[in-house]
Order: sequence, then C-alpha cells, then structure tokens
Amino acid sequence: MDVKLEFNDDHKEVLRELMNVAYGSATAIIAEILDTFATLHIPKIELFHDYELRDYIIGKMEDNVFLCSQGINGKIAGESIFILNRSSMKNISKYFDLDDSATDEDLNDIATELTNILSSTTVGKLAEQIDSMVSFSPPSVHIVNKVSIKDDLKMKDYSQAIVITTSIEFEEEQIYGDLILFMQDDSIVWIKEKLDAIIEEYL
Amino acid sequence: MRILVVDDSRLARSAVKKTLKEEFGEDNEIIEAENGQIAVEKYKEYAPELVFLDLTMPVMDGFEALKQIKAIHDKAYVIVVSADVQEIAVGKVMSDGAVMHVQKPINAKKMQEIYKTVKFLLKAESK
Repeated sequence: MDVKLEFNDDHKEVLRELMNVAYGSATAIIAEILDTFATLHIPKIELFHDYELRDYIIGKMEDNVFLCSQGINGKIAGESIFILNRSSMKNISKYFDLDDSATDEDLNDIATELTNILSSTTVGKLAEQIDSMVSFSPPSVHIVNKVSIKDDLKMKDYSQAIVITTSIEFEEEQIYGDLILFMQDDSIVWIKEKLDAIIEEYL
Repeated sequence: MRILVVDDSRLARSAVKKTLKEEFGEDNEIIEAENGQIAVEKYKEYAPELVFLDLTMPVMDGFEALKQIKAIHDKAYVIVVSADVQEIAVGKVMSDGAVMHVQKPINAKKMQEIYKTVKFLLKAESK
C-alpha cells in the first residue's frame, strides 16, 4: 500500500493524550523497579515520512547511542525503537549500583530490560485504549553511531513512523529517551480511523 | 453542583464532562481550565464544590495547583485524574488533601465510584 497519511492537530492531540496515559503506566513500573520517583513530561507527537525521520534522528543523536528495538504484532504492527544516549544510560546504571566501570555489556542488559518494559507497556496500553491487543518479539539492543544508524534503523521497511519524544526525569538523574513507533501503513490507516472515531465522539 | 475540570487535554476534559453528565446528571455547571494556574484563578472566581485535576500539565502542574487550591479552601474536594500512577505521586496528592486519585482514562465505572465518594462526603458534611 502506498499511502501518505497526515495527522491533523486533533489527531495529534488525541494521540498525545492516549500516549500520555500509556507512558504514565510504563513510567510507574520503571520507577518502581528503580525505587525512585519520576516526573512525567507531556510527550510530543509527530508523524514522519522515512526521509524526514532519518534527518530528525541524526540531528538529535550524540555520536553513539543505544538503539533498542522490539517487534510489535497485531493491529498495531511494526516496530518500536527506544533511543538512549550514552550519558542517559550511564545515569540509569547508577540505579543498578554500577559505577563508571560498567561495561557496554552491562549497559546493554539494562537497556534491554528497560526497553522491554517501556515499549511493551506503552504500546500495550495504547492498544488497549483503542480496543486492540498486541504481542511483542524479544527486544534487541545495538550501540550505533551517526554513520551506521541508517543501516541499523530498518526504515526501509516502513514509509512512515510516529515519533513520541519525551524525557523521564528521575529524582536524582535526568534520562532522555526518544520512543519511535514504526508502523506498517495498514496500521497507521487503522489508528487514524480509531482517532477519527474518538474525535467524533469527544471533540 | 459547580464543578471545575482541569486538564491540558481537550479529550481528557471532554471524557470527564461526558461521564460526569452520565453519573452526576445534567444539572451541573461545568467550568474548564487547561493548566494549574488557570485552575487556581477559576477556583478563586467560581468557588466550585468539586474539582477534577490532572497532574502533568504545562505552566503549573497539578501537584502545585492542588496545594494552592487547598490553601484557598482547606476543605476543597479535589479528585485527581492522572496518568501518573506512581506510588509516590499517589501518596503525595493524598497527603496534600486530594479526596481520591483515579487512573486515566476516566470511564463510567470510575465515575460511579467518585460519585459514591462525593455523595458520602457531602452527606457527612451536612450532618
């Protein structure tokens, strides 16, 4: 299917609130694991075409980042990508009593676990709010740089992506993360129909 | 009853208003505010009997708005409706005087619980 979908302001506003609810649930679980309190921020929602997304990601990232991906199956089919920069990963590792000697392997393990919780809870809660269910593939983590990111992101498989940008601010440490949902075109069409129904009923 | 609904999301305010009408009836005056600062101003202006308050909002968040509303009227009935379900967040708003913390999204079942609680509190207050 070759579709060029656009989200208008109402679509973005509704999706922002649905994601706010979904992200709130995920953050609560992570805060409990880390035994801390996180300040939630209002997520920003954008719908990007593949060529825009590449520039957006490269523009935002530090030289190397932890790129955590997880496959999503169901009506919302695609892939979630959670991008964490190295300083955020170092800050997270402090909650696991790891000092500066933490290896990339240690950080990968933590990133895998956090991605599994964050991505599956967020997408699962989003699906629940629009009367759907999803299942997930095991997450994988790669450390990537600006040069290799084009190959590491499987953007070629998707024409569009919903980008949800937020940061999790813990009591002691600042953690910045971008959660990106790549969706198959059929799924984006389906979500847009669901958003239209919500707009019709509530706005 | 005069009710103040505070949320930066139109969808969330609309969901509260819709379920409110279903459970509390049509005869309520509903006032809206899109952040904590406006909520405090409208609280002073309208003195609502009940407040539905979100926590994560721009300009002034719900934690601060709750404190300021309770400073204006320590018996204000504030129901927090939020996506922030962390134990610490719930504990904080309850210790700051909220009547209840309800997880978003609001629905008929949750609004029925709110209705029962508010009815009980009003009855107890009138005795």
